[in-house]
Amino acid sequence: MEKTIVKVGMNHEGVVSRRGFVQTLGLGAAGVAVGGFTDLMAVHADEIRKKNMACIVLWMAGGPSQMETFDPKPGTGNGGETKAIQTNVSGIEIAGGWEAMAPVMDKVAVIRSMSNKEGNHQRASYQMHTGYAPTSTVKHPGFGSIAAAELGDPKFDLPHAVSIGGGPVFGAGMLGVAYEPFLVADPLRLPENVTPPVAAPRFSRRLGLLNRLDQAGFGSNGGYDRVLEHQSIYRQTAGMVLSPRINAFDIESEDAKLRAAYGQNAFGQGCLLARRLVETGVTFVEVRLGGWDTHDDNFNRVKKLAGTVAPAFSTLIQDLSSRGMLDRTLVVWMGEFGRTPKINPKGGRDHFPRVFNVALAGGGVKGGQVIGSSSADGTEVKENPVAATDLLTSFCHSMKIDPKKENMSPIGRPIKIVDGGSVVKGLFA
Amino acid sequence: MSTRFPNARNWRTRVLATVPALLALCIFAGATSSAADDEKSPADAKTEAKIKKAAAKARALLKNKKGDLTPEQRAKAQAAIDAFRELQAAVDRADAADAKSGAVSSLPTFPPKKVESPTVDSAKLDELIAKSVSEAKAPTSPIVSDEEFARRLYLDVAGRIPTLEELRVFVTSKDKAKRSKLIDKLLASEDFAANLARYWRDVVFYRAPNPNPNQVGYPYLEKWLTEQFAANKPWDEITRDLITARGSYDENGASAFGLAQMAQPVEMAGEVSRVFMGIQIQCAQCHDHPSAPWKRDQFHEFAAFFQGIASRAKRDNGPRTFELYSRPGVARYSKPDLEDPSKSIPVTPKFFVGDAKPVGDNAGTRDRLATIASYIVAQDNPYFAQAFVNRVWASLLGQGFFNPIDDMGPGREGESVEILETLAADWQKSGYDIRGLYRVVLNTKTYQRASRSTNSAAGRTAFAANCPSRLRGDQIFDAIASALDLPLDNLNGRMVRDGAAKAKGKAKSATPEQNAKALEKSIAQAAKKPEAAKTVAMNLNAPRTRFNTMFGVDPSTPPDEVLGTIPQALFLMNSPIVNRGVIAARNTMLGDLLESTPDNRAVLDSLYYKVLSRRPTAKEVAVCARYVEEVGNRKEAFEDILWSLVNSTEFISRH
Repeated sequence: MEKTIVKVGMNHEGVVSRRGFVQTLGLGAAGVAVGGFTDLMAVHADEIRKKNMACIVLWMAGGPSQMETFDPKPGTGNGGETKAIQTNVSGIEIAGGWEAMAPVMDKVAVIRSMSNKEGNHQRASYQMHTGYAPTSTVKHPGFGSIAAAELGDPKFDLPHAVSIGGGPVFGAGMLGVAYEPFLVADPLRLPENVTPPVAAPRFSRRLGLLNRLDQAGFGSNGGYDRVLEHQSIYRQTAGMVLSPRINAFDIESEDAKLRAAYGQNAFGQGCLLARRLVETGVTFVEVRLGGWDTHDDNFNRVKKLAGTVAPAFSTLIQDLSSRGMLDRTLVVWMGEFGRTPKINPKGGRDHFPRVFNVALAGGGVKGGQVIGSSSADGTEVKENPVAATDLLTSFCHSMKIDPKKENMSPIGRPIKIVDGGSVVKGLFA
Repeated sequence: MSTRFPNARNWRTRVLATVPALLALCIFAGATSSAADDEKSPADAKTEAKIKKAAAKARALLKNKKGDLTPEQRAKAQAAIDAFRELQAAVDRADAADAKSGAVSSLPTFPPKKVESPTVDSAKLDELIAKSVSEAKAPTSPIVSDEEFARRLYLDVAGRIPTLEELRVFVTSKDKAKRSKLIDKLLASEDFAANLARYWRDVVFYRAPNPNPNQVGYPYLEKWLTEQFAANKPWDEITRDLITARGSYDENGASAFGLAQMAQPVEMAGEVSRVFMGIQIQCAQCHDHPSAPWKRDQFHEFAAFFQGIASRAKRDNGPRTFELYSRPGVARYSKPDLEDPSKSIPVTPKFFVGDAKPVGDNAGTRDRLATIASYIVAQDNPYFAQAFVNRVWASLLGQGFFNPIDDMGPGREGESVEILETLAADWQKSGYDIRGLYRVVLNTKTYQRASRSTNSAAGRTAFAANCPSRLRGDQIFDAIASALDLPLDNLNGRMVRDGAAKAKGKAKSATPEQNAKALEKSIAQAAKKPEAAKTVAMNLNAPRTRFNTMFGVDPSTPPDEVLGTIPQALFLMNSPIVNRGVIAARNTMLGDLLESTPDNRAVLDSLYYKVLSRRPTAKEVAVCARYVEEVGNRKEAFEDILWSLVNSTEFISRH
């Protein structure tokens, strides 16, 4: 089995300028314009990724307030100062501050009736990523790793799952390191240690020497299997280092206007990077943005966050759509839980898993609709409650993954991809 | 109405007495119901959270807006703070009272520990292995050379590769007993204690349900374990301390074990069983175990021992740490009713091994924890000794009697299980002497045999050979430091740091040479302050900790399933750290070596000794000689050779 995915910490000493990077690999001089090259790659992306599906999750770490995002309650005590704005779908109103999303709401489905019981950040994040509560028995794989394992083509020379923006990654767990998301802390820089400290010919020469010495030494002295495994990892790593596809990580070749539309900040550029990666054949990308844990000053803080997220989210949808990629790319905006309807004395909202919202687009999702609703005061789900398992089952549906498939835990216990849950009614066309 | 543990009534009375005031205060402070969604916490925890919130709010008001408050408001705020203090005091009194509840008649008594002289020595163990090897008709591997023995022993016992000087002294010694002397010396070293502590820290860390390391305090667990192993504390005492620990992790590192389980009874039960007995009883949490005799009831009876222990942020003005304490007023442990999920059924604690009797429902939390610890470490509980011996054996031989090492049954198939039973029983009778166990195994011929590939036909052969396995993160970290002369522990977080703040400007355009220079500077600075190394070990951002996030592996994973990762390969291939270590420049290991040694063969020997603790074979010499010739640049060629050695399979393996 080939192993292609992993996660890595970042090292600021590991970065050489992009130009240096391209020259090191001998590509800059090869006469292939970087953008042209990506386009070339995109042609093959469909063949590379089985079943043709990809997923981008915009993860709002800390728990975004539903009333200041896609479930505003203007004119109520709990709703606070947040206003509601019209969108391009009559009857669907979203919170003020999200104006950039208004023109794409016909492509977005909002679920206003998400409901869960876990109010602890880490445990809830685990649950929303894996569909399971954390336990010492099994480390459940995150959805990104599941998608990587189910859909990624072993011959693809970049990781199948990528996590952008740092922070804790919900990894492959029992699926093994082969499906760990590859971590990109800063989308503005190439991933750490992908640039060899020596020129490409010498790098290749070194690899040759390494292989010969491994075989001559340990490989013929009790370490035969270990050497084979090691060489397999090194082959893949070197393949990635030398792969022209690694240029997908370099967003500098993108059009300046498009870059500006995504927003000149790490999250916006991360969304752009996500599109590039999916275009190149990566199956799953998560882009993280923290700061949503608004226990105080909720209204100002969310307004600021919306100013970052709305243009990026909106541009991502339009960008995917104009490239004909939206139908096969599921885009999900979500966090680990919602926030209390009641505004606390510090003008904040606290953890509230009982009612929260999620927004989805692409991947077969029927846009321009709201699914479920919360009560007028926001304290209860009024209709169509949706559980974490329902949401993950819906992800599986979109990506053509069988949610009932069982993976074996290390002690031989079968674990379903999703245990229970059903596809959210009406979500898909 | 469910029965409550003793002291609960006392505590509740106190709190109830203040309830009208509290309610008023809650309203005053506008405390919301945010805590109400934590279904796991009992009602009292909710009340406590409300009171705590009210007090916090009151404190903030008094601090920031004192002038704006009416005297009445001020009095109310003060009353809210007082109410919280009184609540804390009540909790503390109940916690303290739990300690004194010793005289409960229904608690079982345990015979005192007996310590007999061990009867299974290395020769006897070799005899047993020889019998099983001949029955399996497995070809026996030869005994390893002094060099190979030294590297294996240093890695297994001291957790690092030998220095050139240590290797030279050992290999040139004519003493016939030099191997057993080196074994004794290393077992007595601080490195052994640290190595073992890191191993067991990882055993806890990689399965911890608590995902937040700051709430567990792993560096303190490591420090505490190091102290226990350094004092050669018997395994039963260490285990007892881990199971019954309370207090904050900075004061009692053993608390980290319970904190890692979030002080949840079902998690405690699962991990205590897995780690200390090699039994995966947690599968029986939801249903009767499919392949072992454990019933769902037995799991819950076991979990009931751990009810009442709780975790919280420590309440003092020091650094934010977490602690374990006895939470008063906790309802009896109960299991979900499978017929009706809205109901639960109270469960009486009872140990599932042997013919243990139920423990009275009126026992306090401390008593129940002490009782279950006594049951587990008892000298008539074979699982306890076998679980430890199996782990030690697996780490020294590259494969355990049972694999995975923490799933020993019953009903599991093992290899040469009768040998495990004999060795474990003897170790148990002789009082769980950790160094003693290592000494017996390390002195066997079995341990000292050459390694053989695990997957070859002759590989899995009842311990006729040692098996190669991948080094743990800490071992690789120390091996890199030693092989390349890099003081990695003193780099103050520069090792694998993200450095996003600096990245935007400077580092983006930095060349490898500039990076190497910056690194050199930080090494020089660190060298001036050797005492920094000690404090950095307690720092979660220490280079070692960061390195382990990339190279660390759950030690309970079967060796065959421990595979390398792309980021690890990227790090060894391309990172500035390794690059700095392999370049031949002024004041680098290779630079100095090339300058002082004109003979290429001597340079090659030195590099092999330095990195792999052995001389190159004739084949390797030939490959390298041809390479030096082809490259035509001595400095470049040897940089590439050193790079290849550090990137080799052997470097990151024990064999």
